[in-house]
Amino acid sequence: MTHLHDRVTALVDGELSTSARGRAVSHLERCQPCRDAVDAERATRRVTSETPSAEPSAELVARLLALGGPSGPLPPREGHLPGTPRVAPLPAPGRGEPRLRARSSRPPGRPSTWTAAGSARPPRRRRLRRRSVTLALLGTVSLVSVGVLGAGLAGGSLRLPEDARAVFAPLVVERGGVVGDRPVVTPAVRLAPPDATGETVRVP
Amino acid sequence: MSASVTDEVDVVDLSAWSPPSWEEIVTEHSGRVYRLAYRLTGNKYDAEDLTQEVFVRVFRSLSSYTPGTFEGWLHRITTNLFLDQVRRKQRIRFDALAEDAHDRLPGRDVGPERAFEHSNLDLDVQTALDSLPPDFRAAVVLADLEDLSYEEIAATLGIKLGTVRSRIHRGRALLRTALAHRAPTHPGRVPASSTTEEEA
Repeated sequence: MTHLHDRVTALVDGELSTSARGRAVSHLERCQPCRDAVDAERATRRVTSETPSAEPSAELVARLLALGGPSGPLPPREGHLPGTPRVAPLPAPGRGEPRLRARSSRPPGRPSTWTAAGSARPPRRRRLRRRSVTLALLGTVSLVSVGVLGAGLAGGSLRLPEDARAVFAPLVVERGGVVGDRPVVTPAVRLAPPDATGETVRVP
Repeated sequence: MSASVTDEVDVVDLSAWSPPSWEEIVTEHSGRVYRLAYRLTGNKYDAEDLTQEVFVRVFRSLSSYTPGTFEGWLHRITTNLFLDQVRRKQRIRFDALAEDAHDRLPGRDVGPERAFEHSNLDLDVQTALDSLPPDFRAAVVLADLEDLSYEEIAATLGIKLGTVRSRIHRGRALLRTALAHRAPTHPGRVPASSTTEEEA
């Protein structure tokens, strides 16, 4: 067998196959130059792996933290970040109806205003606008304040979709989770006659 | 999503779930990214710029991050950004300085400021790493500092396994030469290696 040449590196790094490693080791038993080469390679690896690199300065870490904005939470991910609990993703637009129908919390026989509108879970922005329209028509003081919130959400998502989604995600999700008989807009829906509500909700 | 998952379950899960804050991500990973960036760039300023650029990319791409190891993702972003920057700088340098450029690359002056950065470090090691071609340096640093396997390095740098092997082999040989004065037990000449980069 010839000298190990570049196999010295792979041997030291533990990257030779079992058979190649066996051949290399038996060659080393009778080849001093290659044993020296292996020693030298190990020494070089030790130097580069054991010498500590520099640590980031406090200023740099502060700058990195500032990239995230003023304590803003992260945008929700579809994927799963290692080290975090797995979580059910946000419902995708247009996929809500079957799930809503499967719900058991709605009293039997009571029609869902949302399913009557043709889509249980329209895309969020449309839903918010629908809410605003509904609320404006009804015109009660408490509902107007909710409408303002809805408009704020819609405005935010228009400007900075990612950030707005992140900032308001908990709010929106929580509401979405209780859609049925007790969403935030339920009072509006309940107050309105079913027909009128249906009309209102269809406004694009 | 499973059909058996009800909205009620969603509510429970989501209220109990808090996404990792940006602060947690920075705290947990900034050291790793910076150490890698420092070994690659060889100086504080470039390492800080590179680290910051990496975290900008991370922040922008978090929503599209697909499951896998977060560390592997950071390795890929850091080394690829570094090599992109090096290639861009080299183009500019060659355009500006023509054949003179090559002579200017190896000799890097270690001023007092830079020596100060290394107060707790081994200046020799960094200087030796700096003398490697960037592609070799990236492979060696990923192997020795980050302890990646050749396969992981190949995936990180988007190169073939044989290329990883020869880059690390040749990179270590260059390092050995650069560090020769600090290895008292250096055995002298080792069997000559005729490996070329494309050889697998």
